[in-house]
Order: sequence, then C-alpha cells, then structure tokens
Amino acid sequence: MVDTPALEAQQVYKFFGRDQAQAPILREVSFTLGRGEFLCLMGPSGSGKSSLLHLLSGIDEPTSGDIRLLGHSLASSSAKQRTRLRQESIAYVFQFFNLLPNLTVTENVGLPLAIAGKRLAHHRDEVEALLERFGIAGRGAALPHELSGGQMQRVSIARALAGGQEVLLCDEPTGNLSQKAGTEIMETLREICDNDGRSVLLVTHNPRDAAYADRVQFLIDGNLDPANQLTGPNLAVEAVHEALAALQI
Amino acid sequence: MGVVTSVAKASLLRRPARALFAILGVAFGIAVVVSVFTVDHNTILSSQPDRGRGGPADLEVRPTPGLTDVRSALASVPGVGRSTAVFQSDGRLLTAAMAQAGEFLGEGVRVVAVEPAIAEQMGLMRVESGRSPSQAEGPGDAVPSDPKDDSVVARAWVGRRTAERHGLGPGDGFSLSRPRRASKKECVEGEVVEVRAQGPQPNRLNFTVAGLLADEKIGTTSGGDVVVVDIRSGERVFGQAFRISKFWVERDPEVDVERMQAGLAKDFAYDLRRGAVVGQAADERAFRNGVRLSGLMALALGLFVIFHTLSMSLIERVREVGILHALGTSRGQIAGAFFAEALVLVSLAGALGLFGGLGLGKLMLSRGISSLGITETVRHSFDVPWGQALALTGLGVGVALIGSVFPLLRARDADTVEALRGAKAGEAGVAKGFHLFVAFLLAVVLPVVFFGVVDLVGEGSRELVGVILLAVGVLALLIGTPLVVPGVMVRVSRWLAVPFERRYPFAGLLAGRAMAVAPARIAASVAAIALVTAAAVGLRGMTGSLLLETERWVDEAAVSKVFVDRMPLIDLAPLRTALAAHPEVLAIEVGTHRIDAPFRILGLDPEELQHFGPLAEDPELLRVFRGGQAMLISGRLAKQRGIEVGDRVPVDTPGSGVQSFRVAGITDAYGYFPNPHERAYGLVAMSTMERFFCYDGERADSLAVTLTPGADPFLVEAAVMGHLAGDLKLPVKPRFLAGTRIRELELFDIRRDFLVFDVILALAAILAGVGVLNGQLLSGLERAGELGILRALGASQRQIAGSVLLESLAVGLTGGALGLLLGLALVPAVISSLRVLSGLELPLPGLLPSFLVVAAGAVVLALVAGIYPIWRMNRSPAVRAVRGG
Repeated sequence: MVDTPALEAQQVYKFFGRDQAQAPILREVSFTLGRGEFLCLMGPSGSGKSSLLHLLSGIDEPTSGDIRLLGHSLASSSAKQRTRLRQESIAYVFQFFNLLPNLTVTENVGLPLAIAGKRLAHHRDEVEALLERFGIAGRGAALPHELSGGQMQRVSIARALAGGQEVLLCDEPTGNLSQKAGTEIMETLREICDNDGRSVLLVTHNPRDAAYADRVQFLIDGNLDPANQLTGPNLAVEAVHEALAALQI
Repeated sequence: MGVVTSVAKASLLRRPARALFAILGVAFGIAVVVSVFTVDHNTILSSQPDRGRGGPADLEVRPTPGLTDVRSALASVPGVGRSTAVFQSDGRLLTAAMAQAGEFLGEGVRVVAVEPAIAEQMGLMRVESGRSPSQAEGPGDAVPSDPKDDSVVARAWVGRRTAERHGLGPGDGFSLSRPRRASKKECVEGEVVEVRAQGPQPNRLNFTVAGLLADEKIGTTSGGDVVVVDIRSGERVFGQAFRISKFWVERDPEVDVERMQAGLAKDFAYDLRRGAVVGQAADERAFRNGVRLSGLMALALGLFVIFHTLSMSLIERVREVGILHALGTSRGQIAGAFFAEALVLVSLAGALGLFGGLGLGKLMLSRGISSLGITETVRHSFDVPWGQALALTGLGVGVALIGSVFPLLRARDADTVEALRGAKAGEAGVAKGFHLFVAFLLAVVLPVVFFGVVDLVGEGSRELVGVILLAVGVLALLIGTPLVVPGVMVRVSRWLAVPFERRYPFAGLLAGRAMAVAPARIAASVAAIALVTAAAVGLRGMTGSLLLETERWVDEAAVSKVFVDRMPLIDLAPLRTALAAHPEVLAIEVGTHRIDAPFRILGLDPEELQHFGPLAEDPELLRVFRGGQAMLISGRLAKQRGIEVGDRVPVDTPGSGVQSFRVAGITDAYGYFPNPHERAYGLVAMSTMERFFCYDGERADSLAVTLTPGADPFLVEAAVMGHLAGDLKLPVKPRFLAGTRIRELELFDIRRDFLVFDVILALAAILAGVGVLNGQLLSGLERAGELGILRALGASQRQIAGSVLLESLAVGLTGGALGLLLGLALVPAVISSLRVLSGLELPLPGLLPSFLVVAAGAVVLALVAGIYPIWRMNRSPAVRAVRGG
C-alpha cells in the first residue's frame, strides 16, 4: 500500500455545462502525487488549477477519466463514498481561509474532528497543541474576524491538520497574505510535508511559493504536459521564473 | 426605468424565495380569516329560511292572564324592541263583482290584524304599490269607532294572490266578514271541545285597498292570499271570539337571547323564531366567537411570517441602503423603492388571500364545515360577504404594509458610513425597534382593528371581553416576549439541544452556533410554534371539558336506557305488561306527549319515574310532581334560562290560556329522547299534560326503557318486537338505540363539530411551519458559502441536514414546551369563561394525553419545516461555495 500514490489523475477531462462542443476546462490531465511528496501545480489564471483541485477532492466530478485517492477510484465511488474519502483523507487550505465566521478559533480548528463524529471536549488538548504549534495559542476564543490574515491562514492550516488526513490540498494559500506572512505559511507547509509525512498539492502562480515544492508542473489551457516540469529538491525561485518565461506564462 | 422601480424590481426578483414566502405568509393568513367569515356568513344564511311557528317576526309573545299593562311589561324586558299587537284568522272577502254575481258569502282569505304603521317599521310588511301605512291618511283611512256604523270604510293591504284572484288594486273596495259557522277545537280540562264564536254578531266591514303587499314577510302568508288590516278593524270583523292577545316582537340583536328569554319568562309565554336566533344561543355564540378568535390568530401568524422574513433580510437591506445612498440616491427615492416593493408584495398577497380564502371557504362549506359545527345545511350554500371579506383583506394588507415599510424606513435613516462598513441591523438599532413595532402591531393594533371590523357575536359581556383580552394577552406574550428578549429563547433552545449535541457533535456545533448568532430568528420561530401549540392545547382542553360534561350528562340521562322510536301509535298498557315481564326493566318513559313552546315540555308518568333517580330518593318531590302544576326541568334548561327551583314558568295552553308552573326540581335523569335531540326541556306529570293539552296518555309511539345496571339492552328490542309482531304489519321498523350508543354518538358529534377549529388550527400550523421554514431557508441560503466549505472539508449532506434538524428540534421543543405551559395556564381560564358564555356546566378536564400529543406535534411541525431548507441547502454546489470563498 505504501507504493500506492497519494493522488493519481488519469486522463481527466472536464467540460463545464452540457455543451461538450466547447473547449474543455481540463484536457487529458494525468499526474501522480506520491506519498509524502510536495507537488506544485502552476498556471495562469483560468488555466483550470482550481477546477482540478475540486476534482481531486471529489467535490466535483470529471467528465471523463478517473482520479484515484490513496488507491480508491473516485469515478467508481458514490457521492456518499466520495464524501467519506474526502473526510478521511483530504484536508483543504483555501486562499480566502474559509473559516466559519460564527465559530471560534478553537471550534474552527476542531471542525474536522466534529465532522468525524468526535466531541471537541474530548479532544481539547490536541486542538490546543495545534494552536500552540502554529503560534495562535491564546486566541482560541477569538472569532475569525478578530484575527489578521496570517493568523487566519494559520488557523486554516491547523484545521487542515486536525483531522489527520494524509493529503493536503492548498489553493493559493498565500494569495491573500503579505509577503512575510506568506513566507511563514509556506515554511509551515514544507515542515508539515517533511515532519508529518503528509502529501501536499499546492496550486499557485507565485514562483516563490512554488520553490518550496519537490516538483513543479505547469497547467496551460487545461493541459498538464509531463515534459514541462521542474524537479527538486531545493528548487530555486529563478528556475521557476525561467520555466514560466519559457512557457510564456 | 427609475431608481425606485429598478431597486424594487431587483429586490423582488433577486430573492424570489423571500418574496414568495412573504407573499404566502400574508396570503395564507388573509385566506384563513376570509374563509372563516365566509363560512360563518353562510352558516347563518343557510339557517335563515326557517320561519318557525311565530310568523314573520323574531318573536311572538302572549301575556299571562291578569297582566294589565302589556306594553310597559314588554318594554321593560331587555332585548325586546318594537312590538305590534297581532291576531290572525280566516275571513270571507266579498267584492262588488262577486255580489253582482249573486255571491254573498264571499271567498276565504287569511286575515292578519296588526298595527300597520309599527308592523311596517319592524319590516314585517312592505307595500310595493299604493300607499304604505306610514303615508298620510286620506279618504278611506278612517278607523271605525262605532261598531254599528257599517258605512265606514277602513284601509287594508292585500297580498299578491288575493289581488290577482279578485282583481284588486289600490283604491278598490271589498268587504270582510268572519265565516258564518266558524268554530275551533280547544282542550278544556282534558276534554276536546268545539268552541263556537261568542259575543255579538260582528259586522261586515268595508275596506279600501290602500296598497299591495310585496311577496315577503306577511305578504307571503297563505301563499300571498292574505289581507292585512288594522287591529281595531279586525276586532270589528271578528269580535272577541278568537281574539287571543298576542304580540309580534322585534328582537334587539345587541342583547343576548338568554337575557331576553329570562326577562320574558315571568309574564309571557313566547315562541322564538328559530331563524331569528341562529348562531345567537350562548353555546353557539361561544363557538362562533371562538372561530373568530382562531381567525385572528391565523391572521396574526400570517403577518408574523412577513415580518419575520423582513427581519431576516434587515441586515442585508441596511447595507443596501448604505450603498444606494453612497451612490447618490436620495432618501426619498430609497423610501419610494421600499414602499413600491412592499406594495407589490402585499397587493399580491391580498389578492391571493382574498380569492384563496373564498375558495377555502367554499371548500369547507362543501364539506359541511360550518361555524356551528358540521351540518348538512351549508353544503350547497355559498354567498360571499364582500363587505367583510374586503375589510379583512384590507386589514391584512394595511397592517402588512405598515409593518413592511416601517423597518425599511428605519433602515433608510441608518448611518451610511456604518452601513457601508457592514454594520448589522441590530447594531444600527433597526432590528430592536422593528421587533418592538411588530409586537405592538400584532398584539395591540391588529386585535383592536380586527374586532372593530368584525363584531363579536353577542353583547360583549364581561366574560366575553375577558376571553378576548385573555387571548390577545397570550398573543402579545407569545409574540412580544420572544422578540423583545430573544436571547432567552436561544438559551433555552440550546439547552434543550445539549443531549443531542453529545450524540451528534458536528450537528450540535453547527446548530448551536447558528442559533446563537440569530436570536431574533430563533425567537420568532419559537413564538410561531408556541402560539399554535398554546391554541391547540387550549382547544384540546375545551373539547376535553365538553366531552367530560357530555359523558356526565349521558351517564345520568341516557346510558342505562334503551330508546325506541318509529313505532306506530299503539296502546301502551299491553306493551307495558310485556316489558314488565322482564325484571331488568325499571321504568318506561313515553316520549310521545310533548309540546315545543316556549321550550320542549313532556308529559311523563310519575308512577314510572318513581323507580329511579331523584323521584325515587325524594318522596316529597314525587308528591309535588304528582300533585299538579309542577315541573321538573333539565340542567341545560335551568342553566340557559337562569331558572331555579321554586321559580314559576308560564306555558301557553290551547284552551286554558297561559298557565303558570312551579319548578319543583332540576334533573337530567328523566325525559331525554334522542329524536329530535334536545337537552333543554321540562317535564310535567302526564295527568297535567292530559288536562291542558288533551293528550291520550295511554298511547305511545316512542319510549325510553330504563334497565337495571348490567342488563342486556337487546331484551328491550326482543320484548317490543315480540309484542308488535303479533298483530301489526309494520310499515317502518321501530328503531332501538341503546344509551351506550348515544354516548358514542354524542362524543363523536362533539369531536366532529370541533373539526372547524381543527381545520383552522391545521392552517395556522402550516403558517407557523412556513414561518419556521422561511427562517431556516433564508438562514441556510445566507450561509450557503459556509455549507459549501463544510462539504469541501468532508461534511456529508446528512451531517448538514442533521444540523438543520437539530435546530428545528430545539425550536420545536422550546416552542412546544412554551406553548404547552401557556396552553395549560389558558385552559382553566377559557373553560371558566366558557361556562358563563355557553351556559354549560363545564368541568376542568385535568391533564389530557392529547396535550402531550399536541406538544409532540409542535416538534414534528418544526422538523417537517426543516425538510425543504435541508433540500435547498444541499442543492448548493460546494464548488461554487469554495470558489466564492
């Protein structure tokens, strides 16, 4: 089972609406995210990055092709099974944090536990430890709108780790943050991959963020060319810039 | 398109669900109240054609002998309006043409002698051509003062048929006389005697046709073959022979009929026209006023829904105002846009409610549902009370409009900078003011205007006003309190949800937070559920009390008896012997000998009654009852008429004038017969009945056979049929009805009659459900983004549904518990007032299992109301939510 990739996209097509005569938003997308790997997908706006993330997380379905999550085929899973897989295996970090405004920091972080049917009161220590780890201890009772952007994203990452899911999907996690806060967040994600052994799939158009990845692939007009990729470790930001320039992104 | 139109249009179209549910709420409330009054209107209308025995007037009274100043005595009775002396008799009409043709006796015609001017004022006669009594006197109007002067010509008004038959028109002449050998049969001291005309031979009197009567009221007497004359002219024609002093009396509808009856009872025998008092009896008044109150409740709930909807969107509107104002829209334009939007909403709701209400009313009527219970007579009746329907629709529309515009105007004045910063309506002070205003509007303004538009049935006595105030107080409490202190409702709801949160942590977390951040929404939902629950508990308490009262009555009056009717009129003695052969037979009551004015009076044999009940226990009572003009009266009659033991009751007899009977006792043990059902009656000894009404006490066609406890009721049928089969071929099979069956039927009838309340309550429950649904739906749609994120985080649709259901459960439990508590407090007060209003001896029902069923129903209602929002929320695509952030 260890050899099974964390995520695998196989010939994925995605059309919006019913009119398949239009150009697909994703075409023949195939790639693999290994266990414990940090993969970055880059592409210009409208290239289909976020759509691909939705398909990978199972909240949307490809028009054709399949996605295998920890070896489980999403195409052959029911909506209920996909929800279950998502709940057990995938954590999400969003550009706009997407914290629930009416829940406190502690409750937001503990949300995956509650979704898994666990009582927060019984897992208070785990949540406190996560808050401590991400430097937001003492803000547990605060509501999201009382936090800074960096703090909100840290809460969001803490939430992503609380459920213990193996795959972490990050959709432009620094897109709404200052450079300093963005750097903190990317270091945290790298640390999570290295120390916790989680698989991270980062979607971004920021070369600085991409440089934290083990591997960078480029999504252009819905197509992911396996020939165009950068491989780490220790990717230089400049290399990413060059690749982007070569691809005219 | 101006800014006013475009803003209003955008608001309506952008939020179709909000607009739809706001319209539905008001429309439903108006529909319920319109249907209630349409049903009530048709209930009364369908009972009106009955003219009863007393002629066209509401009431026909006959004074007791010796009463000298009848007019003053009548005037002192509360509820008695104008009155005219009256008598009717058959006369002979002779025209000049008939005389020329050799006919000297004339032809038969009904003669009604009244005081014409008063009769006309009372609406008893209408002249369609010629001169009416109130017009100036002219030739031929002289009233004959000299009985021997047959040259005098008096006025008369003739019916259509008489005019046609004899070719009479205004100004024509004719003469009237009484029949030559007129006589009639009377009962004098138990003997039927033929009474011939007494006194001097009356003169033939000449009349001039002053006018022709319209085909209504007196004009319809004898199919229009009638002549109306002045009472003094009538006396000239008929002499004193058949002149019985009677008065037609107009009833003052402002005075309760029981008070008038009690006032009349001392000096008058009377006959009340049934059609004039339909829906006016105490229990009927209570019933109809109850229906009115239910209508008010439904209307309040309907308006509650629109206000609730507006309250939900206030935050959004405050921000919208800020943006519009920042873009340069004047406050006047903003107000205009809001007013236009509110106007469209309530106009649509008003039209939908009016026509929906009429349709609903028609449907209820076609199912036999009336404001007096279930009755066949209303099935084909459908007349629209346009005045009342439009007034009630106007009331609903008006209050909805005021309530809709007020908060928006307040929002208009909100600080623009604050609004742009996203300040909440609550922070802007708008929400609190709105809730206070709504509470005032629904709990104070609406009831006051409502009862201004729709009169109460009855005098508006202290008790009735007490019930109304009580109901309005509960309405105020239920609507006002949660809105003013919503935090309390939320705390209670969350506390009630705690056990479920432990089992379902995610749903609990989400529901708890959703409730905490929207206290006003939760409070409004709780109030709607509580209102319906309290009303349902009050209604169940009321029906429970009525059922208990009926059970007690049936136990005393019927349960140990077997009733037999549809028998041929047979000799009683052999049947009595056949029944007496069974030791289980205690007594036989005969239901054959009865009169029905002023109330039902039966003649029963004391020798039979002495075997059970009060007459078996009280020899002195038995002696008095046997002795002479004594009467036993039923509990219902005593309560209705305020009659006590020792009082005297005047009864009009056919041969001996008005006789006075002393009330010797009050009991339900004797004299009840199910066909026709009547619980208000009196009993006299059979010998008295024979004496004054010449009934043959030895013949019977209906019986009540009292059996010893535990006896098989079938023995009565076997004995009677065995007796009848020997010598008679029965055209109709006698009917046997056991008292136990009567108990079942009576209890069934009460439950069935209260169906109208159940229908209104069901409609109100739907309204409350719409309110809860609307709140949850709007909340859910506002949180669509959150829900999508939760889905992305792995929350299943079931878990999200669980959070909505948990909120519904908490709302249902809180509303149900609050409603149950208030309802329980309400029941004794309602029953106490109802006792006075209905004249029924209503017991307190205690705690009924149905109360808990009602509370459980409140929870189910809230849960059902959550289904649509769940479906709608789960339809929100998670992808869109995640994209939108």
